[in-house]
Amino acid sequence: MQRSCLKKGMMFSITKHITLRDGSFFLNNEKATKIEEGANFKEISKKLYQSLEVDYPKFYKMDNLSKTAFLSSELLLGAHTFNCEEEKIGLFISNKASSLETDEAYYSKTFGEDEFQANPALFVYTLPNIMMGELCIRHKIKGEQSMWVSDNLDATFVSKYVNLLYSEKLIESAIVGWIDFYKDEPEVMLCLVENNTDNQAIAFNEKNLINIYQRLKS
Amino acid sequence: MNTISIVADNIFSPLGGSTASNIEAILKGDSGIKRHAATDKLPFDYCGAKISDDQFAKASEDHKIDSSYTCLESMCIASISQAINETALDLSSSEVGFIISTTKGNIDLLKENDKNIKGKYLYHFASRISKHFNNANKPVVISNACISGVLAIITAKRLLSIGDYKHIVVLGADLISDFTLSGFYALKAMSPDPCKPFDKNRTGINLGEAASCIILSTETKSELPIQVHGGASSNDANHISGPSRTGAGMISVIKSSFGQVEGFQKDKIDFISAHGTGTLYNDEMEAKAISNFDLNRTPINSFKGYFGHTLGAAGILESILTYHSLLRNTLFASKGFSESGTSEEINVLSKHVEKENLNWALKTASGFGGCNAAILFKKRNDV
Repeated sequence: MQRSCLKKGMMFSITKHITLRDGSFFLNNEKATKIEEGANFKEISKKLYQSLEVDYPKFYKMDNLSKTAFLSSELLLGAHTFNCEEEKIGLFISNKASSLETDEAYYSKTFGEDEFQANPALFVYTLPNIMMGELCIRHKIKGEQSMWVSDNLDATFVSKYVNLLYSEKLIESAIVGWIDFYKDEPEVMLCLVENNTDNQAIAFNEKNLINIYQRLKS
Repeated sequence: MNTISIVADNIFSPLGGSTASNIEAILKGDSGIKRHAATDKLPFDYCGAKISDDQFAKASEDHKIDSSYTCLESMCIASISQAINETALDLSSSEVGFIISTTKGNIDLLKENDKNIKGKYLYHFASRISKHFNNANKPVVISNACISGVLAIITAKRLLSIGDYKHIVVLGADLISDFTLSGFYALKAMSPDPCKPFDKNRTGINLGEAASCIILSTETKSELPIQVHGGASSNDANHISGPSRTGAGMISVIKSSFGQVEGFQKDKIDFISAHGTGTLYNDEMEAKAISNFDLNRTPINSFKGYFGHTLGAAGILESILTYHSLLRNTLFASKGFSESGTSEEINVLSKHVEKENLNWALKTASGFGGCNAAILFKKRNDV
């Protein structure tokens, strides 16, 4: 079977990326939405969700990390259709705080009150890869995946690993990035990586990953 | 692409501090799972496999681990120290990488007012371990629910195959904590009795704690004549806290693993080490996936009846026992199993069995978030 990635002139490229800077999401380098300042994340995320006009009531059950991931992926992908099988779409996310935000909330709710009261729906979100599960359900992503935890994006490792999977034909497209949430502070950098013939496209490599990631920190 | 072998390993569990002592305990039919009484904080009894205070004290003394390390860090250091005891490997070399698998890290530090704030971060915990062995490389931390351990081995294999390192220490560890106990209790996923993976009367999981490590290498004549092949991860894209009913995600990783080995025939598989948590849904899903490949007669077991579910350690601990089964030509009983209890009949090992010439084994894992993973182990031909 002829696979699109085998065609000549194809390059594994970052075709779109979304970043969150100073309270605003940027799609590529265009401001995609404005989050109002001053309000807490719960209100901001609700307004943003409503502005997207998608019908996905499960959103309200998610924890803050998954909400951040969901909103970012909606802005990144919109009505995007992948040009490969669902099993060939990879998902690779890193962050710093793992699920610590929800871990602390769960711990204090379970043991902080007078009476022991453990909430199973909250407990489920005390794993960082649950946000990846949410994205997979939403966007029908079924391929290779990994959740990494590091103090900063380890672009050397991430680019090497994802490029290896691509060259081994284990993936043909991927969502790669950084989604963190701790102490009411979301951090987002998410790239759509695909086969591309456009010479102007951003090659998926360490240097370009760092370039995009550093926009969060500047 | 380099062929990947295994230099050394260790299991630090309630059943012992070395791989050999753990295998001896399994052969005797021992289990680390014991009943623990309710406390003021946790108002329920539970069955789980906990490491005793005496075991911690002995490990700290044996490996000279000072008190600045947390419980989890001490387990990890003990596990790696024990593994390298048997080798001449210098872990401080820049040619050695570290990959650490954990779901919850130092979760016991979450209690209020603990001064060790940095210790709550998984990457900080990981760098404490690599720095203890004077290794300057940045450790990779994988926190992908219950596939973390198998995914860590797959990741190491991939990095070694492109020559990124010469050796990689793959370490997995998790604690039994009030945090995880309360959560699985709330989910009604915990069995009140010792778990019974694949059995008709299975009622859920037991939690366990352990640290476990495998040192993988590009050396072709490694100490342990085992090679690592295939390896894949996937997502069911179905539900965040339950596996797909059809086993589609599990089928996909097994298929991918087989496909990565040139000329591989599925009937080469001599043994399957399942995830086998003892929940209704997991075990049913795995049986369906196995049946999809017509591997219903292939001997299969779960090690959860000996160790409970050790979360981030599970995939590594169970992989070690999987390839030692090949090395010893002995398949271990699936503890807790007596009567078939999945809609697809599979060949669950009800007792230890000695075999001739075991060569290939398949190890599977699946977890919350809809994730699945599989990897293959092969005994080298020269033994």
